[in-house]
Formats: sequence, structure tokens, C-alpha cells
Amino acid sequence: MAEEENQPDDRARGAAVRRTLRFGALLIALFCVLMIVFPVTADDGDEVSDDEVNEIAIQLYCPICENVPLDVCPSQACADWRELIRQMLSEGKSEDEIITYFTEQYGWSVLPMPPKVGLNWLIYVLPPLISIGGIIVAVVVIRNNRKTAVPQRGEEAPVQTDHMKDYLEIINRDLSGKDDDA
Amino acid sequence: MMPEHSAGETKKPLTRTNWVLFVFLGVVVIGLFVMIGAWMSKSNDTTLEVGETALDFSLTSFDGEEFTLSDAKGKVVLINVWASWCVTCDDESFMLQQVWEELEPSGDYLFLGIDYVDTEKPALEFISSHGITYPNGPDLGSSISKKYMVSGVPETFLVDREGILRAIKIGPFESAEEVLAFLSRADE
Amino acid sequence: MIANIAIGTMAIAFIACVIAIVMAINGMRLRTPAILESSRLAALSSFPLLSFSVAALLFLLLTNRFEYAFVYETSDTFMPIYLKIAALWGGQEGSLLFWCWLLSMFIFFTLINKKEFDQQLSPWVVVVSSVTLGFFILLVVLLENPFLRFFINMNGEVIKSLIQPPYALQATPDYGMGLNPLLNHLGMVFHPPALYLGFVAFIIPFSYAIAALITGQDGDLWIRKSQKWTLAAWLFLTIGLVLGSRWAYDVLGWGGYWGWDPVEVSALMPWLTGTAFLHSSLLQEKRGIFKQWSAALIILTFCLVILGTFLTRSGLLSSVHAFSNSPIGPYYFVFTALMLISSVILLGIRWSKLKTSFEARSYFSRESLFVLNNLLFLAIFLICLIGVFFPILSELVTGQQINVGPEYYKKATGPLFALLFALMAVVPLSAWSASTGKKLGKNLWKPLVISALIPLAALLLHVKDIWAVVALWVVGLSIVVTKYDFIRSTSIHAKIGHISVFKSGIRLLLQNRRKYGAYIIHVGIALMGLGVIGIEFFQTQSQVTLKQDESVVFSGYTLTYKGLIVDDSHADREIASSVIEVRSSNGNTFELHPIREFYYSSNQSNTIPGLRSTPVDDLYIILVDWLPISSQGATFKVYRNPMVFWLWTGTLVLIFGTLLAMWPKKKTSRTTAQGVQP
Repeated sequence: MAEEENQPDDRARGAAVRRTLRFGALLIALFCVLMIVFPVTADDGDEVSDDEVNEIAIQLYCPICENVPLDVCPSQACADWRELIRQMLSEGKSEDEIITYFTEQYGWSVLPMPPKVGLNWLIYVLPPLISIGGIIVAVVVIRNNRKTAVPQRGEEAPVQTDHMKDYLEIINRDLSGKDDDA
Repeated sequence: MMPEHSAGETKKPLTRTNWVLFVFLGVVVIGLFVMIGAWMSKSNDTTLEVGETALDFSLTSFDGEEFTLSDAKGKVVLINVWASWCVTCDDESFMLQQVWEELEPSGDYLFLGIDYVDTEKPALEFISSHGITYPNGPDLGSSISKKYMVSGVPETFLVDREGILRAIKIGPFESAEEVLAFLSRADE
Repeated sequence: MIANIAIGTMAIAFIACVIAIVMAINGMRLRTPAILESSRLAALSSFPLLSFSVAALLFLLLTNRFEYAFVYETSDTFMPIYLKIAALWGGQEGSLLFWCWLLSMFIFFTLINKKEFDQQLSPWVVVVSSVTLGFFILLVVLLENPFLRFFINMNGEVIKSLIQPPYALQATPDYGMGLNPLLNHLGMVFHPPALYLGFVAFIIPFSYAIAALITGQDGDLWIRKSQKWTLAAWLFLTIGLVLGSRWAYDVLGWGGYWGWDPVEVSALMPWLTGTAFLHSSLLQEKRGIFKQWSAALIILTFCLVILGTFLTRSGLLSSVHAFSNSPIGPYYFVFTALMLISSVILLGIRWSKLKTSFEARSYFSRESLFVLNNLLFLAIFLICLIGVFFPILSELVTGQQINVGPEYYKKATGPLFALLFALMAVVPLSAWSASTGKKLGKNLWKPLVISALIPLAALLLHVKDIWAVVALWVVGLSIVVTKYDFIRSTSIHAKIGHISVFKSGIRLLLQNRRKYGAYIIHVGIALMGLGVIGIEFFQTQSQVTLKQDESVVFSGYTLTYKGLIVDDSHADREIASSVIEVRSSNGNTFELHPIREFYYSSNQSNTIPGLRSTPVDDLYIILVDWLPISSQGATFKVYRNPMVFWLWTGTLVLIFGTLLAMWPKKKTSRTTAQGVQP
């Protein structure tokens, strides 16, 4: 029988088609799943807020205007910079990476404080030195004076105390108009 | 109301602490004035000297190609400092592109665009919207601008075939003819 | 015409200065009072002469005479009258003339009283002040003349000149450039004059100090004669600085009040040394000590004043405040250097003569604490000096442009200021010479305990920052100490004298104005400190774009953008007022109106915040004008500044205290209160 001979071929072909179709459906299903899980935009879902941009912008200076921080600078260049920060944030860059990038691109004048390199160490080291130095000088001066003390004019004002007598003296002196406790 | 005053105090010699104090003060004050003086005399030169050798630099274009000024000896080089946010650079760039299209085939000229304090996306948009075909690159760290004492944009510099700086233009060109006139100064 | 006379009066004023100097020196040499008197008169005459010049310039400004370059550059027809007057100091030339005028005014009022003109100090005061005034007049007349006019010559060039050049005719523009719209604010009217008054007034104590040094006087006569000027200078300088701060807060500063801009710091430095000088001179007058300190500090203060104006006007500093570059730079520089060097040499010659010492039996005696006080002010000053000059040094040495930003100043000076506040709290409790740490502690513990309520409250309110808590405690302590002392004195006096507490308080205040005036000043400073702590440690801010009727919650406030009101009825500008409805956490609702003004001629816009201020906090909303603003939506920056109210209130208290302290006493002193003898 000729028909009987063709039947297994037809069945095989049908099975092949069904297999292909099933495979294709599987692929489509997989594609759909992937589309849902990995959206085309490839961003993290949240938009970067103005505040997040400003948190970094406030740590940079406008490169063209004098002494204006980047978060309040109205110029187009600054607006471009803030957009760049927004873009870098949405790419997941960290604050340090962004600031380092800006420094490399535009120089140290975008930073509010110079990096701790070479001569710039002075600006970090001098204030504490001066403060400590001031205390030391105070101590030295007072000690020197204790050695060469000379009694000077002006009565010794009693310290404010709880003792009524001392207080009355102070009040009397105040009322008599003699300035001595300035 | 003069206070009593120990006779022995009036002729006291300066103690060692006093000397230390005065020397320290003297150093600080003199240092300050020297600094101010140096700054003031330095700030009198606000632009480069025409006629000197142009300072060498390297520029990596947005396409990734590297250009070094000294390698361009034998060509007349026009260096244009611009920015995408610069309003007057807008018209000027059309003129520069027009002149570039005329002169590029001769192989005698090189136009370099230095992008000053700019961000990449707006810069690339500027280049494509103005149809610019000569090389442009960002001025990393503003180092080139500092060398050429750029104080604003646009500024254009002309370097002749021997590498000498021949002309400086502060501000935008008004016409393509002006660009050509500017370029001709390299051959004077 | 009037301008030519004005230039003439300036020239005559200069000659008067020269005459005054010559006469003073001759009069002293020949010991002839008549010659000295003529030097005094010559010095007096510069004030009326310069008054005419200033009046002339004001006249030109108010009558829109744009052929004068200065009027053209700083004024325009549409400006309100108060701003046209303020234009006097709106440009380099006018502000220098104004400076000269103020100098001459202080010289005038110092020398006007013939009885106070003595034979030793006053002639030198004339010399020093006339040298200074003469220098500045010369600068104005020769280099920065406000009376230059525009002329067009045959080449079509416009040139500026005092007199008509040959082959040229006067050119009169139809309108002026006007002041930058950002300056259209009352702050422009009061801040520069107050600041200048403060700076310039220091010429008087400085001249007296130099006079004392030259004549070899080591007493306190020079201090007493110049004391009211010292107080006035300090008061004006403080007011000037605070006004600048308030102006920045109101309009320009984006919720901030002090930017540590190099020009601001240059104005702060003389205030620092000036305050130290104020304290030191009071000590010298009372106890005869600190003579070297006083002399050195006033010299330093005055030189800083001159240096400060030099830095601002010479283009050395990168700042939003700076004037444009000017040819006066080198001359100013030489003058500053000469002034400083000659004063220091003079001081050096007399240094040992001025030496005094005090018996400081303890590190906690009042004298020791004042030494610490002076050194703290000096340390802060040095830190500021480094901050201002370091960028210049860096650029010279390495070619690198760097910034020294607010963080440097805050971190470096913050602890020192805190120490100063602590001192302010402790000194009233200390005694001269004989106070030990133990004694001081005995007096300190009660106020310390009372003031400890403050950090306790802060901790309860979840304040996390330990430095904020410490700062609050220190400030609170100083207020408590002064109040405690005053209240004790008042109540005891009231009880004994059988009068009301109120009466006793008034009497004590009036009888010892300096002491209590100083207490009030310190309370004012402490309150200002409170405001500073509030804004520095506790400020919150946000930027948000709102569509119409959209709300956002910020620091306990709900803000809703209701829409925009546009007013284009003005000829020169369009005013767009946004309406924000605010609901606070306790249910109160109110409206705020952040405004944007757009000026047609200059294409510039000016944003004015909507501000609600209470003693607890300020809510400050400002339009972001580089993003779209419409009824459909707009972008805002919002700030919450706690306690900033006290910064301004504290200043008012400070002013009151200074006025009380300055109030001259009648010669007769009252007797003690009746029935006080125990």
C-alpha cells in the first residue's frame, strides 16, 4: 500500500514541525521572560533625584564662575555638569568615582579644598599647629609674667560669691559709678 | 592717671622671646608682601607672546585619535578653543567648518578644536549638529587652556609651519573671510 | 561745571592735608600753639570740601547725567532713588571718594573740639590721619576720578577725560548701564556704608597710637581719647558684617549667610583683631597692663583695613565681591607696605618701654584669661590670613589654581570660636590676680549645672552631633553666667534697698554702663552664636520640581505649589511670583511667595525667596530660575534653617549693649544706694 508507506514520513514531518513550533514557543516565552527581567533601558528602576545630584554637586565648584558651588550655579556649563553627575549616578558610580573623574577632567580648581599633595599639606597642617602654638604661647606668657610680676594699680575685685558682704561691696561699687569690672 | 612705672623697666633689653617674635613676624610680613608683589607683576602678562615657539601639547580627540602639536610641523595649525555652552562659538564653528572644507584637501592645514570645560554629551551634540569634521577633543584637566592662558571662549591660536605662534584671536570670528585672513598671517 | 568745582574742592582738600601736616610738624618743632591751631583748622577743612564733592557726585547721579562715565556705569533712569544714591559706592571711583569723605568726617569730629586738642598727641594725630587722607585723595583725583566724562573724537572713538580734549565733543548716552539687578535691595544702601564707617573709624585710634609711640608716652591717655571712636568703629564694623550677612541670606546666598569668600574674610580679619584690641585697650585703661598688646593690635587692625581694601580693589582675590582690575594696585600696595613697616619699626623702638607685667598667680586669673582671649583671636586671624593667601601662593609656586573653601575655615576656626565662647562665659566669674582654678570652679558650678539643661534637652530631642551639643552648652553657659550675675546683683540690691527688682536693675545698668553694656554685648554674641549653631549643624535642604497642586513633605512641612502670578506692569522688569501653600506639622497653614524678577535690558534674573521666620526655625523657599517656571510646574530649593532668627536678634541686643556702654557719663556720680550699709 503506497499510502501506508507515506504515513510514517508525514507523521515524522508533522512531529518535526510540532517540535519546531514548540521550540519556537519556548524561545518566545524565554524572550518574554528576559524582557521582563532585564528591561531594555538597563538602569536601576529609580530615577536619580535632584537631591542626590546636589549632594555631590555641593562638593564641587563651578569651573568658570568665581567661588560658586555647583549646586547653585545658574550657567549652562554647570547645568551640563549636573546632568553628567546625574548620568554617572544612574550608572551606579560612587561619589568618590564621580569626584575623581571631575578632578581629572577639569583640574583641582573644581574642588573646594586642594588634594593633600606637596605644598597643599600646609593648608591642612598649619591650623592645628597655630591653635596648639597659641595655647603654648599663652602658657609661656602667663608663666613669664608670674616670674616678673609687678603689683599694678586697681583694687582687687572680690569674686562673685554667695557671701552677702562681698556682694554688697560689688553693688556699692557699681552704684558709685566706678568702673572696674569690665 | 598715669600708672606708676618701675624705673628699671624702661630700659629693659629685648628678651629672647621678643626677638623670636619679631623675626617670626618679619618673615611673615615680608613673605606676604613678596608674594603680593610677585603676583602683581606676574598678572600683567595675560596673554602669550606672539612670535615665540608655541607650547607643545597632546590632544586625544573624541574619536580616540591622538594629535601632538609638534608632530604637525610643516602644516599651518589653527587651534580653536570652544565649548558647547558658549553662545558665540555657535556661529563661529560654521565659519571654521566652511573654511576647513576648502582647505583640508591641500593637506597643508590642520584645524584642532579644544573643548574647554565641557561635558562629553553636549560636546558631541554640538559637533554633530554643526557638521564639524576637523578633530576635536576634550581639554583634560584644562592643561592646554592653562598653557595658552585661555581666559574665556572662544579663543583661537595660529601656529605656523615651524611651530611659531603667529596670531591670537580673542572672541568669535565674524566671517569666513576673517578666518582666511587670520590664517594668512602664518605666511607673513 | 559742578563737576569741575568738585574736582577743585578735592584738590584743595589735598592741599589742606599737606598744609596740616607741615603746620603740625612745625608747630611742634617751634612749640607754637598758633601754628598748631592752624594745622588743626587745615585738617578740619577737608571735611566740608569733600562734602561738596560727594554732594556733587550725588547730584549728577540723581539727575541722570550719563555723560559722566561713573554715572553711566552705575546708574540708569529707571532705578529707584535710594538705589541711585547707593550707586555712589556702586563703583570703584565713587566708593573711593566716599571712603575719603568718611575719613575726613572722622578727622573732623575728632579735632573739632578745641579744648581736647592737646600739644603732644593731637598734632601727631593730625599728621598720621592727614597722610592717610592725602594718599586716598590723590588716588581718587589722579587715578580713579569719578568725574570723567565721555567724549567722541574724529576717529569715532569714545574716550573718557576730565576736560574736553582737542577736536572732540561731549557724548551723552541716553541711558545708563545701571547697577546689577542683584544689588537692588536695601542691603546695598546700608551694608557698604556701615562697613566703610567701621573700617575708616579705626584711623582715629590708630593715629592716637602712633602719636603715643612717637612721643614716647606709655600711659593710657591715647586710649582714653580715642576710646569712643574704637567702640564706634567696632560697632559699625559688626553691623556692616551682619548686614552683609543678612543681605546674602535675604537674596543672594541660597539659604546661607556667610560664604567664607576671600573678600568676606578680608573684612572679618580687622574685626577679629579689632575686637581683641577693644578688650586689650579696656584692660590697659583699667589696669595699666597689656600696653604692648594694645599698640600692636591697633596697628595690625588698621593695616588689615588698608590691606583688606587693597585686596578687594586690586583683583588679587577671586571673588564675587571684587571690583574690576584697577591701576591703583601698585600704589596701594606700596602705601600699605610703608604704613605697616613704619608702624612696626616705631613699635619696635618703643617695645621695651611699653612692657608691663601683671601678677598672674594663677592660670585662671582674669589677666591670664585675657591673654588667652587675645591669642585665640590672633590664632583665628592667622588661620584666615593663610586661607586667603594660600591660593595665591599655590598659583605662584606650582601654577595650580586651587580653592580654600568654607570647610577649611569652619573646621579650623570652629573649635577656637567655641573656646572664645567658653571664655566669654568664664571671665565674668574670674577675679583679677588672685583666682585659682578652685575658686573659679566654685563660682562656676552653679551656672554650669543650670546650663547643663540645654545639652540635656538637645540629647532628648535626638540631636546626634556631639559637637552641636557641646556648642549649645557653651553658648548657653555664657548666657546663663551673665544673667545669673546680673540677677543676683539686682535681687540683692532690691531686697536691701527695698525697691522693686525692676528699678534696681535699671539703676545698676545705668550706674555701671560699661560693665553691663559689655554683659549685654556678650549676651548678644551668645545669641548670635545660637543662630550660627542652628544653621551650621541643623540645616536641611532639598531641591524638588512640583507640578501645579503637587505636594511634597520636607522636614515636617507639607508644601504645595499652587501656581504663578505674573506681573508685567513694570517698564524694566517682569515679576513672577509663585504661590506655595505650606502646612506645618502642628497644623498651621500659610503662604509663601518665592519670586523671580526678570530684567529686560540686561537679560538677567534675580530670585527672591519666600521666607517665614520664627524663633524656632526659618522656612526658606527659592525658585530655581535656570529650569522652567510656569503655572504648570516649577523647581524649588527649600531650606529649613533652625534658630537663625537669633543671629539677627542677637545683633540687635549687641547694638543695644554697645550704645549703653558708649553712653557718656555725667561728671557727678551718684552716692551709694540708701540703706545698703549692713
